[in-house]
Amino acid sequence: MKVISLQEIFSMIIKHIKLVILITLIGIVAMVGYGVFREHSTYVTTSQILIKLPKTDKDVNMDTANLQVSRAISTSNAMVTSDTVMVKSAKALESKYDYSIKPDDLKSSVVVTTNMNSQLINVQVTGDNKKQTLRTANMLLKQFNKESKKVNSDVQYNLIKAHHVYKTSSHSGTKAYIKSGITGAIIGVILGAVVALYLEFASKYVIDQRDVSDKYNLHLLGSVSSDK
Amino acid sequence: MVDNQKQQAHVEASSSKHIQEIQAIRTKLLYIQQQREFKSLAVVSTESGSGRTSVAVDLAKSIANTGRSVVLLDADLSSSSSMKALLGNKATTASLSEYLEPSSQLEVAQVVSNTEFSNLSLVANAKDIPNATDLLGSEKMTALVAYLESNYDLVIIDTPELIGKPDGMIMVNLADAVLLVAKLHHTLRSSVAKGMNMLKEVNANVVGWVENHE
Repeated sequence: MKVISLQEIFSMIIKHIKLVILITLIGIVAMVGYGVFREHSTYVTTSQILIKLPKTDKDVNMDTANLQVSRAISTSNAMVTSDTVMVKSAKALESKYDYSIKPDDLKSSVVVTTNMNSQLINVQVTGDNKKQTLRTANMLLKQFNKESKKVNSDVQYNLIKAHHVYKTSSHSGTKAYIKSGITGAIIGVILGAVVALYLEFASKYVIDQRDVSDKYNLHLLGSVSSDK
Repeated sequence: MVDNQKQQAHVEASSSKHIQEIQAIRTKLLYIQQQREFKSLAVVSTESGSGRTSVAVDLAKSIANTGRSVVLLDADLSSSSSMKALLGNKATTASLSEYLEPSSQLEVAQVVSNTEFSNLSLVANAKDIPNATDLLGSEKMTALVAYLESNYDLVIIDTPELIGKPDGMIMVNLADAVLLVAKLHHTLRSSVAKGMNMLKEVNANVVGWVENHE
Protein backbone atom coordinates (compact mmCIF):
# COMPACT_ATOMS: atom_id res chain seq x y z
CA MET A 1 0.00 0.00 0.00
CA LYS A 2 1.33 3.39 -0.99
CA VAL A 3 2.09 5.70 1.93
CA ILE A 4 1.51 9.38 1.40
CA SER A 5 3.26 11.86 3.63
CA LEU A 6 1.62 14.93 5.11
CA GLN A 7 3.91 17.04 2.97
CA GLU A 8 2.58 15.34 -0.16
CA ILE A 9 -1.00 15.88 0.98
CA PHE A 10 -0.19 19.52 1.66
CA SER A 11 1.39 19.94 -1.76
CA MET A 12 -1.69 18.37 -3.39
CA ILE A 13 -3.88 20.91 -1.60
CA ILE A 14 -1.55 23.77 -2.54
CA LYS A 15 -1.86 22.71 -6.19
CA HIS A 16 -5.56 23.46 -5.96
CA ILE A 17 -5.13 26.54 -3.78
CA LYS A 18 -7.36 28.69 -6.00
CA LEU A 19 -10.17 26.18 -5.64
CA VAL A 20 -9.64 25.96 -1.88
CA ILE A 21 -9.74 29.76 -1.60
CA LEU A 22 -12.90 29.88 -3.72
CA ILE A 23 -14.66 27.26 -1.59
CA THR A 24 -13.52 29.06 1.57
CA LEU A 25 -14.98 32.33 0.30
CA ILE A 26 -18.21 30.56 -0.61
CA GLY A 27 -18.25 29.07 2.90
CA ILE A 28 -17.82 32.49 4.50
CA VAL A 29 -20.52 34.09 2.35
CA ALA A 30 -22.88 31.15 2.92
CA MET A 31 -22.47 31.15 6.69
CA VAL A 32 -22.82 34.93 7.03
CA GLY A 33 -25.76 34.82 4.64
CA TYR A 34 -27.36 32.05 6.67
CA GLY A 35 -26.86 34.15 9.80
CA VAL A 36 -28.63 37.11 8.22
CA PHE A 37 -31.41 34.89 6.86
CA ARG A 38 -31.86 33.23 10.23
CA GLU A 39 -32.44 36.57 11.89
CA HIS A 40 -36.09 36.76 12.82
CA SER A 41 -38.39 39.04 14.71
CA THR A 42 -39.27 38.29 18.27
CA TYR A 43 -42.39 39.37 20.13
CA VAL A 44 -42.63 40.56 23.69
CA THR A 45 -45.72 40.98 25.82
CA THR A 46 -46.23 41.71 29.49
CA SER A 47 -49.00 40.65 31.82
CA GLN A 48 -49.19 41.84 35.40
CA ILE A 49 -50.24 40.51 38.77
CA LEU A 50 -51.39 42.89 41.47
CA ILE A 51 -51.03 41.44 44.93
CA LYS A 52 -53.58 42.42 47.52
CA LEU A 53 -53.21 41.35 51.10
CA PRO A 54 -56.33 40.84 53.24
CA LYS A 55 -57.29 43.62 55.60
CA THR A 56 -55.55 43.26 58.94
CA ASP A 57 -56.06 44.59 62.44
CA LYS A 58 -55.22 48.15 63.15
CA ASP A 59 -52.61 46.93 65.66
CA VAL A 60 -50.39 45.60 62.94
CA ASN A 61 -47.61 48.06 62.42
CA MET A 62 -46.26 49.28 59.11
CA ASP A 63 -43.11 47.13 59.18
CA THR A 64 -45.08 43.96 59.63
CA ALA A 65 -47.43 44.93 56.81
CA ASN A 66 -44.48 45.65 54.50
CA LEU A 67 -42.91 42.35 55.40
CA GLN A 68 -46.13 40.53 54.55
CA VAL A 69 -46.33 42.27 51.16
CA SER A 70 -42.70 41.55 50.46
CA ARG A 71 -43.15 37.87 51.26
CA ALA A 72 -46.28 37.66 49.14
CA ILE A 73 -44.43 39.22 46.19
CA SER A 74 -41.46 36.88 46.57
CA THR A 75 -43.72 33.86 46.82
CA SER A 76 -45.74 34.91 43.79
CA ASN A 77 -42.59 35.71 41.91
CA ALA A 78 -41.25 32.22 42.47
CA MET A 79 -44.58 30.65 41.77
CA VAL A 80 -44.96 32.19 38.30
CA THR A 81 -41.82 30.41 37.13
CA SER A 82 -42.37 27.29 39.18
CA ASP A 83 -42.19 23.91 37.45
CA THR A 84 -45.83 23.23 38.25
CA VAL A 85 -47.03 26.39 36.55
CA MET A 86 -44.76 25.77 33.59
CA VAL A 87 -45.80 22.15 33.09
CA LYS A 88 -49.48 22.94 33.43
CA SER A 89 -49.23 26.00 31.17
CA ALA A 90 -47.41 23.97 28.51
CA LYS A 91 -50.05 21.24 28.67
CA ALA A 92 -52.90 23.78 28.53
CA LEU A 93 -51.34 25.59 25.58
CA GLU A 94 -51.04 22.32 23.69
CA SER A 95 -54.55 21.12 24.45
CA LYS A 96 -56.28 24.45 23.93
CA TYR A 97 -54.28 26.04 21.14
CA ASP A 98 -52.40 23.05 19.75
CA TYR A 99 -49.20 24.93 20.55
CA SER A 100 -46.46 22.58 21.62
CA ILE A 101 -43.73 23.96 23.85
CA LYS A 102 -41.50 22.27 26.37
CA PRO A 103 -41.81 23.51 29.98
CA ASP A 104 -38.10 24.33 30.02
CA ASP A 105 -38.38 26.39 26.86
CA LEU A 106 -41.42 28.08 28.28
CA LYS A 107 -39.50 28.93 31.45
CA SER A 108 -36.65 30.42 29.50
CA SER A 109 -39.07 32.67 27.62
CA VAL A 110 -40.44 34.18 30.83
CA VAL A 111 -38.91 37.01 32.83
CA VAL A 112 -40.55 38.06 36.08
CA THR A 113 -39.83 41.46 37.59
CA THR A 114 -41.34 43.47 40.38
CA ASN A 115 -41.99 47.17 40.42
CA MET A 116 -40.26 49.00 43.21
CA ASN A 117 -42.56 50.31 45.92
CA SER A 118 -45.54 48.61 44.40
CA GLN A 119 -47.41 45.37 44.68
CA LEU A 120 -47.18 44.67 40.97
CA ILE A 121 -45.37 41.76 39.37
CA ASN A 122 -44.57 41.97 35.67
CA VAL A 123 -44.55 38.73 33.72
CA GLN A 124 -42.76 39.32 30.44
CA VAL A 125 -43.00 36.62 27.79
CA THR A 126 -40.88 36.48 24.67
CA GLY A 127 -41.73 34.40 21.62
CA ASP A 128 -41.32 34.23 17.88
CA ASN A 129 -45.03 34.22 17.13
CA LYS A 130 -47.25 37.14 17.96
CA LYS A 131 -50.43 35.23 18.78
CA GLN A 132 -48.71 32.44 20.66
CA THR A 133 -46.73 34.90 22.75
CA LEU A 134 -49.91 36.60 23.85
CA ARG A 135 -51.62 33.29 24.58
CA THR A 136 -48.64 32.06 26.53
CA ALA A 137 -48.55 35.16 28.72
CA ASN A 138 -52.22 34.88 29.56
CA MET A 139 -52.08 31.12 30.06
CA LEU A 140 -49.24 31.57 32.55
CA LEU A 141 -51.35 34.07 34.42
CA LYS A 142 -54.28 31.69 34.50
CA GLN A 143 -52.25 28.73 35.73
CA PHE A 144 -50.48 30.89 38.28
CA ASN A 145 -53.85 32.02 39.62
CA LYS A 146 -55.05 28.44 40.00
CA GLU A 147 -51.89 27.25 41.73
CA SER A 148 -51.47 30.22 44.01
CA LYS A 149 -54.95 29.81 45.39
CA LYS A 150 -54.08 26.30 46.47
CA VAL A 151 -51.04 27.55 48.33
CA ASN A 152 -52.08 30.84 49.79
CA SER A 153 -55.76 31.53 49.85
CA ASP A 154 -55.36 34.66 52.00
CA VAL A 155 -53.67 36.68 49.29
CA GLN A 156 -55.77 38.06 46.51
CA TYR A 157 -54.49 38.56 43.02
CA ASN A 158 -55.76 40.93 40.43
CA LEU A 159 -54.65 39.69 37.07
CA ILE A 160 -53.98 42.20 34.35
CA LYS A 161 -53.95 40.30 31.09
CA ALA A 162 -51.54 41.02 28.32
CA HIS A 163 -53.14 42.83 25.39
CA HIS A 164 -50.33 44.25 23.38
CA VAL A 165 -47.47 42.46 21.76
CA TYR A 166 -44.38 44.37 20.74
CA LYS A 167 -42.20 43.32 17.89
CA THR A 168 -38.47 43.47 18.44
CA SER A 169 -35.74 42.66 15.95
CA SER A 170 -33.14 40.17 17.03
CA HIS A 171 -30.10 41.62 15.32
CA SER A 172 -27.19 39.22 15.48
CA GLY A 173 -24.51 41.89 15.71
CA THR A 174 -21.07 42.19 14.21
CA LYS A 175 -19.54 39.62 16.57
CA ALA A 176 -22.07 37.03 15.47
CA TYR A 177 -21.33 37.78 11.83
CA ILE A 178 -17.59 37.44 12.46
CA LYS A 179 -18.20 34.16 14.27
CA SER A 180 -20.32 32.90 11.36
CA GLY A 181 -17.63 34.04 8.93
CA ILE A 182 -14.89 32.21 10.83
CA THR A 183 -17.05 29.08 11.01
CA GLY A 184 -17.70 29.35 7.27
CA ALA A 185 -13.99 29.82 6.60
CA ILE A 186 -13.07 26.74 8.63
CA ILE A 187 -15.75 24.63 6.93
CA GLY A 188 -14.69 26.07 3.55
CA VAL A 189 -11.00 25.26 4.05
CA ILE A 190 -11.81 21.70 5.15
CA LEU A 191 -14.25 21.19 2.28
CA GLY A 192 -11.81 22.77 -0.19
CA ALA A 193 -9.04 20.46 0.99
CA VAL A 194 -11.31 17.44 0.66
CA VAL A 195 -12.33 18.50 -2.88
CA ALA A 196 -8.67 19.15 -3.81
CA LEU A 197 -7.62 15.70 -2.55
CA TYR A 198 -10.58 14.12 -4.30
CA LEU A 199 -9.54 15.75 -7.58
CA GLU A 200 -6.01 14.48 -7.06
CA PHE A 201 -6.94 10.91 -6.28
CA ALA A 202 -9.99 10.52 -8.49
CA SER A 203 -8.54 12.09 -11.63
CA LYS A 204 -8.22 9.75 -14.58
CA TYR A 205 -5.38 11.86 -15.97
CA VAL A 206 -1.72 12.07 -15.09
CA ILE A 207 -1.66 15.08 -12.82
CA ASP A 208 1.84 15.07 -11.42
CA GLN A 209 5.13 13.22 -11.44
CA ARG A 210 4.04 10.76 -8.75
CA ASP A 211 1.63 9.20 -11.24
CA VAL A 212 4.51 8.00 -13.37
CA SER A 213 7.74 8.32 -11.35
CA ASP A 214 6.51 6.57 -8.21
CA LYS A 215 4.13 4.14 -9.82
CA TYR A 216 6.54 2.81 -12.46
CA ASN A 217 9.79 3.71 -10.75
CA LEU A 218 10.67 5.82 -13.77
CA HIS A 219 13.15 8.64 -13.56
CA LEU A 220 11.75 12.08 -14.40
CA LEU A 221 14.22 13.81 -16.67
CA GLY A 222 12.42 17.12 -16.51
CA SER A 223 9.37 19.21 -17.13
CA VAL A 224 8.69 21.23 -20.23
CA SER A 225 6.09 23.83 -20.77
CA SER A 226 3.93 23.63 -23.89
CA ASP A 227 3.80 27.42 -23.82
CA LYS A 228 7.09 28.24 -25.53
CA MET B 1 2.61 49.44 -28.78
CA VAL B 2 3.11 48.84 -25.06
CA ASP B 3 0.99 45.70 -25.31
CA ASN B 4 3.15 44.42 -28.16
CA GLN B 5 6.28 45.03 -26.12
CA LYS B 6 4.79 43.22 -23.15
CA GLN B 7 3.75 40.33 -25.36
CA GLN B 8 7.22 40.19 -26.87
CA ALA B 9 8.80 40.22 -23.41
CA HIS B 10 6.46 37.42 -22.32
CA VAL B 11 7.31 35.33 -25.40
CA GLU B 12 11.03 35.86 -24.79
CA ALA B 13 10.73 34.94 -21.12
CA SER B 14 8.69 31.81 -21.93
CA SER B 15 11.10 30.84 -24.67
CA SER B 16 14.08 31.30 -22.37
CA LYS B 17 12.39 29.18 -19.70
CA HIS B 18 11.59 26.49 -22.24
CA ILE B 19 15.20 26.42 -23.47
CA GLN B 20 16.41 26.01 -19.90
CA GLU B 21 13.94 23.19 -19.30
CA ILE B 22 15.13 21.37 -22.43
CA GLN B 23 18.77 21.95 -21.47
CA ALA B 24 18.12 20.37 -18.08
CA ILE B 25 16.60 17.31 -19.74
CA ARG B 26 19.50 17.19 -22.22
CA THR B 27 22.07 17.16 -19.41
CA LYS B 28 20.40 14.23 -17.69
CA LEU B 29 19.84 12.38 -20.95
CA LEU B 30 23.46 12.71 -22.06
CA TYR B 31 24.60 11.47 -18.67
CA ILE B 32 22.34 8.44 -18.98
CA GLN B 33 23.57 7.88 -22.55
CA GLN B 34 27.10 7.79 -21.24
CA GLN B 35 26.13 5.25 -18.61
CA ARG B 36 23.97 2.99 -20.76
CA GLU B 37 25.67 3.59 -24.10
CA PHE B 38 22.72 3.90 -26.43
CA LYS B 39 22.82 5.34 -29.92
CA SER B 40 19.12 5.59 -30.73
CA LEU B 41 16.35 6.97 -28.58
CA ALA B 42 12.66 6.50 -29.32
CA VAL B 43 10.59 9.38 -27.96
CA VAL B 44 7.21 7.84 -27.23
CA SER B 45 3.87 8.77 -25.78
CA THR B 46 0.88 6.62 -25.04
CA GLU B 47 -1.54 8.88 -26.88
CA SER B 48 -1.49 11.77 -29.31
CA GLY B 49 -1.37 15.41 -28.29
CA SER B 50 1.09 14.89 -25.48
CA GLY B 51 3.80 17.09 -26.98
CA ARG B 52 6.02 14.17 -27.96
CA THR B 53 7.16 15.62 -31.32
CA SER B 54 7.92 18.97 -29.76
CA VAL B 55 10.09 17.33 -27.08
CA ALA B 56 11.87 15.21 -29.71
CA VAL B 57 12.63 18.21 -31.92
CA ASP B 58 13.72 20.50 -29.09
CA LEU B 59 15.92 17.81 -27.57
CA ALA B 60 17.52 17.08 -30.95
CA LYS B 61 18.28 20.77 -31.50
CA SER B 62 19.60 21.15 -27.98
CA ILE B 63 21.89 18.12 -28.20
CA ALA B 64 23.11 19.25 -31.63
CA ASN B 65 24.08 22.54 -29.97
CA THR B 66 26.56 20.67 -27.82
CA GLY B 67 28.52 19.65 -30.94
CA ARG B 68 27.21 16.10 -31.13
CA SER B 69 25.87 14.93 -34.45
CA VAL B 70 22.19 14.22 -34.13
CA VAL B 71 19.68 12.90 -36.61
CA LEU B 72 15.99 13.24 -36.07
CA LEU B 73 13.92 10.43 -37.55
CA ASP B 74 10.27 11.22 -38.08
CA ALA B 75 8.75 7.78 -37.89
CA ASP B 76 5.18 8.87 -37.40
CA LEU B 77 3.99 7.89 -40.85
CA SER B 78 0.33 8.28 -40.01
CA SER B 79 0.51 12.04 -39.93
CA SER B 80 2.12 14.66 -42.09
CA SER B 81 5.43 15.84 -40.79
CA SER B 82 5.73 19.14 -39.03
CA MET B 83 9.49 18.81 -38.97
CA LYS B 84 10.19 20.16 -42.45
CA ALA B 85 10.43 23.59 -40.92
CA LEU B 86 13.78 22.47 -39.55
CA LEU B 87 15.13 22.35 -43.07
CA GLY B 88 14.77 26.07 -43.63
CA ASN B 89 16.37 26.90 -46.97
CA LYS B 90 18.15 23.57 -47.19
CA ALA B 91 17.25 21.29 -50.05
CA THR B 92 14.80 18.52 -49.28
CA THR B 93 15.73 14.96 -50.01
CA ALA B 94 13.53 11.91 -50.36
CA SER B 95 11.08 11.28 -47.55
CA LEU B 96 11.07 8.27 -45.26
CA SER B 97 7.89 6.89 -46.79
CA GLU B 98 9.35 7.15 -50.30
CA TYR B 99 12.43 5.29 -49.16
CA LEU B 100 10.42 2.57 -47.43
CA GLU B 101 8.24 1.84 -50.43
CA PRO B 102 9.17 -1.70 -51.57
CA SER B 103 9.60 -0.52 -55.14
CA SER B 104 11.92 2.32 -54.16
CA GLN B 105 15.50 2.24 -55.33
CA LEU B 106 16.60 5.01 -52.96
CA GLU B 107 19.76 4.52 -50.94
CA VAL B 108 19.71 4.99 -47.18
CA ALA B 109 21.85 8.09 -47.33
CA GLN B 110 19.44 9.75 -49.71
CA VAL B 111 16.73 10.22 -47.10
CA VAL B 112 18.90 12.15 -44.69
CA SER B 113 18.68 15.93 -45.05
CA ASN B 114 20.78 18.59 -43.46
CA THR B 115 18.81 21.13 -41.50
CA GLU B 116 19.48 24.81 -40.94
CA PHE B 117 20.83 23.83 -37.50
CA SER B 118 24.42 22.70 -37.44
CA ASN B 119 25.00 19.07 -36.40
CA LEU B 120 21.32 18.29 -36.85
CA SER B 121 20.06 16.11 -39.69
CA LEU B 122 16.56 15.01 -40.47
CA VAL B 123 14.80 12.04 -41.95
CA ALA B 124 11.43 13.56 -42.72
CA ASN B 125 8.13 11.99 -43.48
CA ALA B 126 6.23 13.36 -46.45
CA LYS B 127 2.67 12.21 -46.18
CA ASP B 128 0.13 10.01 -44.48
CA ILE B 129 0.87 6.39 -45.44
CA PRO B 130 -1.91 3.78 -45.22
CA ASN B 131 0.39 0.73 -44.86
CA ALA B 132 2.68 2.42 -42.33
CA THR B 133 2.90 -0.63 -40.07
CA ASP B 134 4.27 -2.81 -42.87
CA LEU B 135 6.77 -0.17 -43.93
CA LEU B 136 8.04 0.50 -40.42
CA GLY B 137 8.48 -3.21 -39.80
CA SER B 138 10.40 -3.74 -43.02
CA GLU B 139 14.06 -4.68 -43.40
CA LYS B 140 14.65 -1.30 -44.99
CA MET B 141 13.63 0.46 -41.80
CA THR B 142 15.97 -1.70 -39.72
CA ALA B 143 18.74 -0.92 -42.18
CA LEU B 144 18.00 2.78 -41.99
CA VAL B 145 18.18 2.87 -38.20
CA ALA B 146 21.40 0.84 -38.25
CA TYR B 147 22.88 3.26 -40.79
CA LEU B 148 21.90 6.29 -38.73
CA GLU B 149 23.26 4.76 -35.52
CA SER B 150 26.60 4.16 -37.13
CA ASN B 151 26.85 7.63 -38.63
CA TYR B 152 25.55 9.86 -35.85
CA ASP B 153 26.20 10.29 -32.16
CA LEU B 154 22.50 10.04 -31.43
CA VAL B 155 19.40 9.08 -33.39
CA ILE B 156 16.22 10.59 -31.98
CA ILE B 157 13.12 8.83 -33.27
CA ASP B 158 9.76 10.53 -33.09
CA THR B 159 7.45 7.53 -32.91
CA PRO B 160 3.71 7.16 -33.36
CA GLU B 161 1.70 6.84 -30.11
CA LEU B 162 1.96 3.45 -28.41
CA ILE B 163 -1.75 2.83 -27.85
CA GLY B 164 -4.04 1.97 -30.73
CA LYS B 165 -1.53 0.95 -33.40
CA PRO B 166 1.50 -1.31 -33.44
CA ASP B 167 3.68 1.32 -35.20
CA GLY B 168 4.99 2.81 -31.98
CA MET B 169 6.10 -0.54 -30.59
CA ILE B 170 7.87 -1.38 -33.86
CA MET B 171 10.02 1.71 -33.42
CA VAL B 172 10.58 0.95 -29.73
CA ASN B 173 11.98 -2.43 -30.76
CA LEU B 174 14.34 -0.79 -33.24
CA ALA B 175 15.66 1.79 -30.75
CA ASP B 176 18.25 1.22 -28.04
CA ALA B 177 16.42 3.36 -25.50
CA VAL B 178 13.02 4.87 -24.90
CA LEU B 179 11.96 8.23 -23.49
CA LEU B 180 8.33 8.56 -22.46
CA VAL B 181 6.50 11.89 -22.76
CA ALA B 182 3.27 12.47 -20.83
CA LYS B 183 1.22 15.61 -20.70
CA LEU B 184 -0.32 16.59 -17.38
CA HIS B 185 -4.12 16.67 -17.31
CA HIS B 186 -4.19 15.18 -20.80
CA THR B 187 -2.51 11.78 -20.72
CA LEU B 188 -4.70 9.14 -19.12
CA ARG B 189 -3.31 7.23 -16.14
CA SER B 190 -4.79 4.07 -17.63
CA SER B 191 -3.02 4.59 -20.96
CA VAL B 192 0.31 5.15 -19.18
CA ALA B 193 -0.29 1.87 -17.32
CA LYS B 194 -1.05 0.11 -20.58
CA GLY B 195 1.93 1.69 -22.36
CA MET B 196 4.31 0.82 -19.54
CA ASN B 197 3.10 -2.79 -19.64
CA MET B 198 3.75 -2.92 -23.37
CA LEU B 199 7.25 -1.53 -22.88
CA LYS B 200 7.91 -4.00 -20.07
CA GLU B 201 6.78 -6.92 -22.21
CA VAL B 202 9.46 -6.16 -24.81
CA ASN B 203 12.08 -5.33 -22.14
CA ALA B 204 12.41 -1.80 -23.50
CA ASN B 205 15.23 0.25 -22.06
CA VAL B 206 13.13 3.13 -20.72
CA VAL B 207 15.60 5.80 -19.64
CA GLY B 208 13.03 8.08 -18.08
CA TRP B 209 10.11 10.32 -18.81
CA VAL B 210 9.40 13.96 -19.53
CA GLU B 211 6.49 15.78 -18.01
CA ASN B 212 4.80 18.16 -20.41
CA HIS B 213 2.54 20.81 -18.94
CA GLU B 214 0.55 23.83 -20.08
